Amino acid sequence: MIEFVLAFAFIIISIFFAGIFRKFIARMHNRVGPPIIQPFYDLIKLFSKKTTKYKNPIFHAVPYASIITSIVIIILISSAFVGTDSLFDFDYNFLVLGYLFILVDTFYIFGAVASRSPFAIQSSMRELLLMLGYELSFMMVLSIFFAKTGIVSLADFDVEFAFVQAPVASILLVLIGFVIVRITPFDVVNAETELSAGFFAEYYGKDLALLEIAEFIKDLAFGLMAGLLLFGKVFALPAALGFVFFYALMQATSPRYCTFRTAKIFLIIAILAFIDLFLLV
Amino acid sequence: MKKILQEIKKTKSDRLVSISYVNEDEGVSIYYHFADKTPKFKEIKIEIGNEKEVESITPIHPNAAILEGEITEMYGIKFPGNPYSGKRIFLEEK
Amino acid sequence: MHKTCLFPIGPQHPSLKEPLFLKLYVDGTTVKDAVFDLGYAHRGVEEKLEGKQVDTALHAVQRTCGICSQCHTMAFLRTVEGFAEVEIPDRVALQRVIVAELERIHSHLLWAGVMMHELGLDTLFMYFMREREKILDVFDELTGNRVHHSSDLVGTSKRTFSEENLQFALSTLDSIKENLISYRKTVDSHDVIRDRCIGKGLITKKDAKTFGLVGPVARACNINNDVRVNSPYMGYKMLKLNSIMRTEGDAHARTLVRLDEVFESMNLVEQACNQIPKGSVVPKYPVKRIAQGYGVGASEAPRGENFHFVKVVNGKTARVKLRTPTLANLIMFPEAVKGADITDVPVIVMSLDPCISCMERVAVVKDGKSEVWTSHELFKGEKK
Repeated sequence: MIEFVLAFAFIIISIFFAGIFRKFIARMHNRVGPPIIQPFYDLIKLFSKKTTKYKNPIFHAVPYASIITSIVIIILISSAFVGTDSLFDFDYNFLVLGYLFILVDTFYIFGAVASRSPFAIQSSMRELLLMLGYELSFMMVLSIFFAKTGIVSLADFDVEFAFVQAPVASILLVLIGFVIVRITPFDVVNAETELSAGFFAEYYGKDLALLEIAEFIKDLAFGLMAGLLLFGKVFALPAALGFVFFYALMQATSPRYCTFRTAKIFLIIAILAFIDLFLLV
Repeated sequence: MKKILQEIKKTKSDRLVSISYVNEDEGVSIYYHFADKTPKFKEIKIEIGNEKEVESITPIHPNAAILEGEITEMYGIKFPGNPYSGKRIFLEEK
Repeated sequence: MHKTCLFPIGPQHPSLKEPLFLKLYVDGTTVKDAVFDLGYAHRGVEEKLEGKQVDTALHAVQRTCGICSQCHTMAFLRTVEGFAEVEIPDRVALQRVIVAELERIHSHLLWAGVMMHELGLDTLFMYFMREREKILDVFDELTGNRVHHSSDLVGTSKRTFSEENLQFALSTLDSIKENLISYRKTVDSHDVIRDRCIGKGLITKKDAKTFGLVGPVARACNINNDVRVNSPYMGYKMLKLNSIMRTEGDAHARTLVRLDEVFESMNLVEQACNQIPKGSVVPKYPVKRIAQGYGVGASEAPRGENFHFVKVVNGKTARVKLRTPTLANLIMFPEAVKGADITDVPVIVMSLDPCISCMERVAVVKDGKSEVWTSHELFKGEKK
């Protein structure tokens, strides 16, 4: 029962983290920036607008599917903090977590193709190309952490500072985070200046608000998971805040790579992760 | 159809700067301006009277395509041989 | 043979400063064909300029574009003072040149900022805009306006720039110079920027000569069509000027040409401020009544050669034709984009620097005969 309360608290915290991210970037640009609770104002405004006209059932079902999947992700992560007597504690639930991250992106691709907008379709082509690299590496890197420590479920993961035991996998996890959280230099998927924000180009109103909340939850879920794996349960939330600052610093100081260079880099990351996993066996 | 003057054919090594349509008391004139190596611009004027078609100079100067297209759209003078003839560049379809 | 699908850039797009509809026909991610479509910023400037006094016409010509307002003033005044044979004093000539060069600096800084935004580097965008704000403050001190300067009349100028104002201008330029040197070093040496700009949007020297390109686009292909060098006018006759040339002809070369021109313009402003003679400009209004005549004149806008043709009949303008540099370079837009990846299209279009509001003006329409329509009639679509 506690994990539902904790999941709700994490959802509210994720919206604050989005505000902190924007404020930090603005300060590095020598500007004042919006207040930290600005994402709340944006969501309230979006909920009060009319949605786009009826296109087809898949287009309108995608926001609801995405947000339900994101909520399941954050509940699974909360179960790690609650402990072994949680409802959601079962063996190899970290693999289910990896699949759920992939599922959210797959829903975005469905919505993009159903909207038949050229910008969204270009985004989904880039996302499919990158998925070969980063999603494969993501599952392998997750497995490396659990294989090296011999633990089988998230709730049992009570190792502190596991990055010492798996240094290569830790670095690869941070690099994969650039694509999952959409940070330059690897944010080709929704490149703002070329594709007018990619997947979400045709959504507006309540649909867009639900998709934005799903993105915020996914970002915090990744941060918490990386903090849990690298630093341990106690330091997971402070580590997530540290990742917000680190990703904001990288967003402000790097331009965007082109698609093929990004795809090549993530293919190399997948090969490195495979070698690391292979050497364990 | 008004033929272009022999002088324009001799301007192959100059750069075409502008083509202007001017309504004068005696009739309509088209001014061609070229930039050569001297500080002043070279000017060649054609008086077309009531003609509606003038031969296009795009074979000699390819960048005349847009300048002539603009005159076609605004004033209705046609330039046969221009790749942009018939396509609208600036105005809406009416 | 694959079918191509239409990918629209514009009319409203985050990568464009002004509305331009570029239709790309795309196969996969490669552009096979491109067609442009214009007309989204029509305001009827040439139609408004018929039947006006010369000073009123000057007022309208200055407001054709916000970024390059002074270059239209210079071209118009060069034309009118040319065929009316009006001499201008040295001080007026140098004052006009100071404003024109400061305008070149602010236009190139705005362009550089938006170029960095295309590449995804928002921080440099904000930093370039921060330096540009100081130049706009200098304009406020010198001419009284931040954007449309409007400080010149035929044969004279409206204000005298005082010694303190000129010193303020020089000290502002000194204060931004160091930052700009470090930004230019970043653009030249950063790995990702080089990867995304080198070799993209290549224009050969032969193409540039055949199509008659102008401005920094041509100078990056080693062709010099600079009006200030080929036919000096106003204060430029008293100043020493180097044209910045490069040979590669791609997007990176165009970027570096524009950034280097900023430093050259700072040098020119310094020379002009040191050479400006003492005394004040007393506006005599009107200087000389212009009754009849026609002429042409050109000036160097930040984007290239700006050409005006003015005809005056019985004291009123009968025809004013403006040929702006973006219209001359427009024919290269589809050629430069063909064969490129969609990722590179905003970088290429931005490196050719379109200024659409300068380029689009509508003239009189019906049946080959020229009529003067009021704006009310233009809206209704018929003449009373």
